[in-house]
Amino acid sequence: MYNILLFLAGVISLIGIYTLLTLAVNLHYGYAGLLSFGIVGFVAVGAYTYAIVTRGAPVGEDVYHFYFNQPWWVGFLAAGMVTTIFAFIIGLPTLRVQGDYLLIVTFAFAEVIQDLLSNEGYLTNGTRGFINIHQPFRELIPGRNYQLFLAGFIVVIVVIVFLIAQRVGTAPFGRTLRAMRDNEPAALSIGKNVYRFKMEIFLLGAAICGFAGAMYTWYMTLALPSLFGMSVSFAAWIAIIVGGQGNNKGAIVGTIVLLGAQQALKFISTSPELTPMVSSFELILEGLVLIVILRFWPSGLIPEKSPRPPKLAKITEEA
Amino acid sequence: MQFAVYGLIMGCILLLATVGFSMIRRVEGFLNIAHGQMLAVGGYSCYVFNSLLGWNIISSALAAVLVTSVIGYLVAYVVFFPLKGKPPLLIAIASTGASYIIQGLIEVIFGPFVKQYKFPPMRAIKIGDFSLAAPDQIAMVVAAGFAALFLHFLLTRTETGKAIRAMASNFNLARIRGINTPRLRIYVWLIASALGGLAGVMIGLISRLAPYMGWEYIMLIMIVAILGGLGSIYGAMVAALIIGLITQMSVLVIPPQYSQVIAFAIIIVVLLVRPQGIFKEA
Repeated sequence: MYNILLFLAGVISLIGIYTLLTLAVNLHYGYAGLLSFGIVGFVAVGAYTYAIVTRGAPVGEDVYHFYFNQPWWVGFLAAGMVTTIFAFIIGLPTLRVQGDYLLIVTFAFAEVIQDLLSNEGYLTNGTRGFINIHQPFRELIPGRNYQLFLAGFIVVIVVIVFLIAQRVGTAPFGRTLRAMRDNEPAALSIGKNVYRFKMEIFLLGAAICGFAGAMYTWYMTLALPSLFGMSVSFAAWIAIIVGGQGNNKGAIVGTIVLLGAQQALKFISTSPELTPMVSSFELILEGLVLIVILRFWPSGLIPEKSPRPPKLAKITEEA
Repeated sequence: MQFAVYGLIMGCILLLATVGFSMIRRVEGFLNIAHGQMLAVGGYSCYVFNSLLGWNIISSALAAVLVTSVIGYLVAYVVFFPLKGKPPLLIAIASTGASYIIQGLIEVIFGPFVKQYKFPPMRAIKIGDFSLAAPDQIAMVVAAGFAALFLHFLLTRTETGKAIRAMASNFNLARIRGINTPRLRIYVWLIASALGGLAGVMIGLISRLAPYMGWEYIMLIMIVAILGGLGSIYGAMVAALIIGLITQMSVLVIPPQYSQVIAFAIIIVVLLVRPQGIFKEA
């Protein structure tokens, strides 16, 4: 019974972390129409920032030179801040031009970050990565109970981020974003600084990814370059397409459905010969789901609800 | 010198791959992430003809190009044609889905391990003491040159090519003027996929085939496309040679693991200085 509870705690932690990514994708794409494939690049930056800031002196064969030995909350905040700075650099040239460029540049950014993580040993400890990541409140809760605590802690953070995202969506800021997404010239013509709005939402989403990266290291207790492959970005994308773009509830539902299905597939791959086969089928399945939903069910499980329009009937009667 | 030869070959491969990508971007208006997988399809089908069926390399390359062009068209027919009219970014997401399916199928059929053609490495032709390049390398450059010339004459000298250009610049106007757009779209997909397939065959000749190669190359393809000006076909040709030469020649001064970083730095600079690329969309 206790083992099942621990397993569930693990799954909930993972779903929580991915929910943050899906919420970020929703802020980018669902609200603002920005297509960034580089979510995982920001996650990696956040994760490594947290690891480096909270790190102690190197031991054994470690090759890294930089460590700050700070408490977890400093690392957590630093993860968000450093990621935001990176996002600002990426956004500076790309948000002014068409959406295609953002897709390509963020895609390339994610690949390059993964390369740098394995090459820059003095900063990231190379392919060995960081193990024994400092977890928050670890010293207060010893033993396996910590898994349960971590799941709860992550859920609390997810709820906070969800409320923020919800607020952003309904605020005038969110309305402007949607106006911009649906008709950019119109938004420009009523005096909205489109570039600035795009930049703000891009930074907000990236910061969420940075925090999610730090939380991912709490969950894994390690940070390796291979953890931050493109599949992380695409998982968030599939989740948002399945759940429905432009609303935060859809993001959560989509993540639960997707990760639930992935965990279920893990149960099938019990024997080692079957594992590569199952992972190939997982790719095919994810691709199929993406295409089928986009074609036949483009609004996803929970469609976006537009704010109620003003009553047109009255106006036409008067006219 | 050896690096210059590699750079030239890399440039030719990127040229073939990116020209197809740019054609689709121009005519269909979206970024076809699945175009990278056409390279993988080309490479693997050449592997089937060459290593499994035992054909010689030239006939299996030709067969592979044909197979790839048909597969590319089928993918477009099943996935992209029904989505016509949807926002381009949405179709780009669908193309990543298609990309996943193709990669997964390749893994299921051929297994996750790398493959190689049955093709012995050739000795370089020597002029005096100066070793130039192996015959297969020269053949690749010549083939890429011919493909580029063929495309140029097709687009500028034939009715079909002119119609394709008309369709690329204004789809609806072309249709109203009586251009057979459905048939031309088929041609575009066939040509673009065939070029991608040829690039894939060449990748198999200079290195190995792996199921994830489509993802590795699509990034370079997109970088080349930005440098050349998104959707510009001649820009893509020039940019492909530049990127190929830079990424291979830079090995002389900078460690090889940074070639991707250099390519990335190039596009950031290009976007800041000249976002329309070397050539404007003409």
